[in-house]
Amino acid sequence: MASSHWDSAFVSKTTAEMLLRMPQQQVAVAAAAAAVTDFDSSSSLDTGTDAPSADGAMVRSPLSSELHESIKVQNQNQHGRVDHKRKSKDEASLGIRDGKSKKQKRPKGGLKITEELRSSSDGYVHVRARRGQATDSHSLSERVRRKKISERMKMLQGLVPGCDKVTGKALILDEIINYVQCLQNQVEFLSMKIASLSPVLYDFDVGIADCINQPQKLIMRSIPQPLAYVDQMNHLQAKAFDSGTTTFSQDEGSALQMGEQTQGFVDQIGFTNIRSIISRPM
Amino acid sequence: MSSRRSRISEEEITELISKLQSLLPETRRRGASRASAAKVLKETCNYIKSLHREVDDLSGRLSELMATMDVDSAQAEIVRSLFRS
Repeated sequence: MASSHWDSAFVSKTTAEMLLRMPQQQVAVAAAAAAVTDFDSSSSLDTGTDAPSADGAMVRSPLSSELHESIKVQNQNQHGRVDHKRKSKDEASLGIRDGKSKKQKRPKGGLKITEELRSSSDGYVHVRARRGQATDSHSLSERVRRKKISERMKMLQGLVPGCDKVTGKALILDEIINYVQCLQNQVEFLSMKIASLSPVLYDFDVGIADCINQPQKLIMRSIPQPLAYVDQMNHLQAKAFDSGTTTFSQDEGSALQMGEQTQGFVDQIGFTNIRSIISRPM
Repeated sequence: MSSRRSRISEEEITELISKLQSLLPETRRRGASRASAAKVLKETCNYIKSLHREVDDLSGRLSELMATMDVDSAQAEIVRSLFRS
């Protein structure tokens, strides 16, 4: 993008002052934020500008080339797209670091992009500040905050399948919510299946473990105990048993119903054989 | 100002964020008031990854379970009936 868009001299100078005053991490993010447009702005710019803070680049003392390079590397990591917007010699160019970002891509060919950009830019930082938009600390931090949010939304978009086709914060959030609920249901479903098959592995509320049949103990030996989420499992089981076969169709309700009935049976007869229990009229 | 337009839909955005927050395991338990959107998004990111891991783990377990069970047993039949649904 041509540098003509930006009031580069003024902004970079102001930004530099701001940067020097703010704590380092914030500065790094601010530098990137100052250089990028808001989430609501045109998407082309947005994608280009996002995540200067993506990968944990080092935070170092001002070295213009460092900032340039690290930003480039970040962008390369983030999207493989070139962002020619932010290089700075004037700015306190720090390596951008946003420790919370968890991009997994590694800089491949990042240097290549950097080279190309270096040659194309005139060595000045082209940071973007809207006309009339103040560069005071409030706006700057607000921009930083928005940038952070936007960058994390991008990450989530990458995680949630089918989300990258959606535009607009609200829609994306909607998709994310649906997806999380979907995953939660999936986890619950799977754990129910497993629990209903091997009651010996889990501590049912009714203490089925006490009445377990020998064959099931064999199964237990071959499968490691789910230590991580036994509590969650208890919660799930209690919920499922209380609510009945809500998540299952009637056809396969047999297994869950078996579980429910098991609760009653165990107390009386013990869990001798799943088949005998299943064969009872439901 | 350019931010005026976003203000209008800002509310639904924040509403969505809090709805998302309610899904997250941490905030649900503590009943914390609204955390910052950035934090919520980050937590969501981690949560989704952990859910992925959990699903993979559970699926692995389930298939292991299927493998170890006697093919003719009643238990295997139950499992098969589950998958038929």
